[in-house]
Amino acid sequence: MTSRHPQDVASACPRRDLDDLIAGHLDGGLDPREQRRLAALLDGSPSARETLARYLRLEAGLIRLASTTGGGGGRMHAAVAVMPRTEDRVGWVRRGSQAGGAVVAGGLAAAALVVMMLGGMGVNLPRSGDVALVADRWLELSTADASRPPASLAIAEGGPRDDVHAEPGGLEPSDDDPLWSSGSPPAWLVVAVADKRAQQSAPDER
Amino acid sequence: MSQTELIRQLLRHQGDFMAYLRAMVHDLDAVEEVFQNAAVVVMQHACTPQAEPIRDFRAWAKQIVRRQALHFLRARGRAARAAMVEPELLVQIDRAFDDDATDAVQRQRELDALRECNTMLPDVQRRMVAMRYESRASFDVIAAAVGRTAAAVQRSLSRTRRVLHDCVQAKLKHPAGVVP
Repeated sequence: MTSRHPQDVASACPRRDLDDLIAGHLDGGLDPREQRRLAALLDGSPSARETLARYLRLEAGLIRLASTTGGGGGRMHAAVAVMPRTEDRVGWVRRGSQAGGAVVAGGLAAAALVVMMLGGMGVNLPRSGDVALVADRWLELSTADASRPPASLAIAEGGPRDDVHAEPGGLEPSDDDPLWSSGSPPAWLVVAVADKRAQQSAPDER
Repeated sequence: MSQTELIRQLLRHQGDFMAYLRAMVHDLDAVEEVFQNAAVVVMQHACTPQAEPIRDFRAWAKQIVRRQALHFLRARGRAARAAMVEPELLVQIDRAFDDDATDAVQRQRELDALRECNTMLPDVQRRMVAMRYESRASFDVIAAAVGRTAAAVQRSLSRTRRVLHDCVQAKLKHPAGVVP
């Protein structure tokens, strides 16, 4: 394996250059000039875009392996087993408060329910924590919404939400973005939280 | 589309979207945050009776993921003056993602090959990959653990990604052969 920088191999081997630029970009290792060069290579070649797509699938695979190694697949490397995941160290769910605890519990219960539902469908599931985080986020946003003015008012007052965005080109809400029309929690989430509470109230029956 | 079906589709394409986001925002914690925000919007679709039916979930959800990513990039750029991905590169990343019609069977073959290739990496490289993807460790943290500089770790991970790519491709071409 070579230790040359992508720039060093540019003229000698275009294909290698493309691979180096793509691999470097995924970790944010390219400066603007290198990014523009990569864009030019991709723009002029369907084959180059196929190469990028392969790297994206590789990246998806690495993320997938990392997310499933907590299960039966073993760790990617044994030395990492003792390291806490970043989400455990930081976490965007407010775990310190009682409400935050409920959010986490609800999310975990929701995850369990969803996993059961989807498991029955034969879906190849990722680690259940990923679903829990989605559920947690939904509840977090719902809780936050209760103390905020309506979305349209917030926008009118120049206070667009900074956590979830609706439009690609600006900060205006879109008619097709349901998040701006706050509705009731998803049914599966309600059922899951209720189920969790039922389990907590009757621990001896488990 | 029901919420159950939305979740099923979301989970099916989760890896794709996470990788797409990696190419846009790089940082794995940011990737997860953006993906979760997008997932919230996706799941709310079932709560909107007037919403149009979803014909192509991957394309539809990808637009939501993209919006969230662009918003994140703008917010981060304002807050930390962080380097943005060049617009022309974002366009090409979009094209590559949109044109990728690789089916589930092929993706599974690639994943199986990747699993094998990962075990063949030298110990220190495998450790760095695990720290980066499992623990979401920063280059600085990895550097301290393996006794290198952060820049060296970043370069090494980039090279390792390339090695894995080549290994996977070789395994797919010659499933029972020796991989270089």
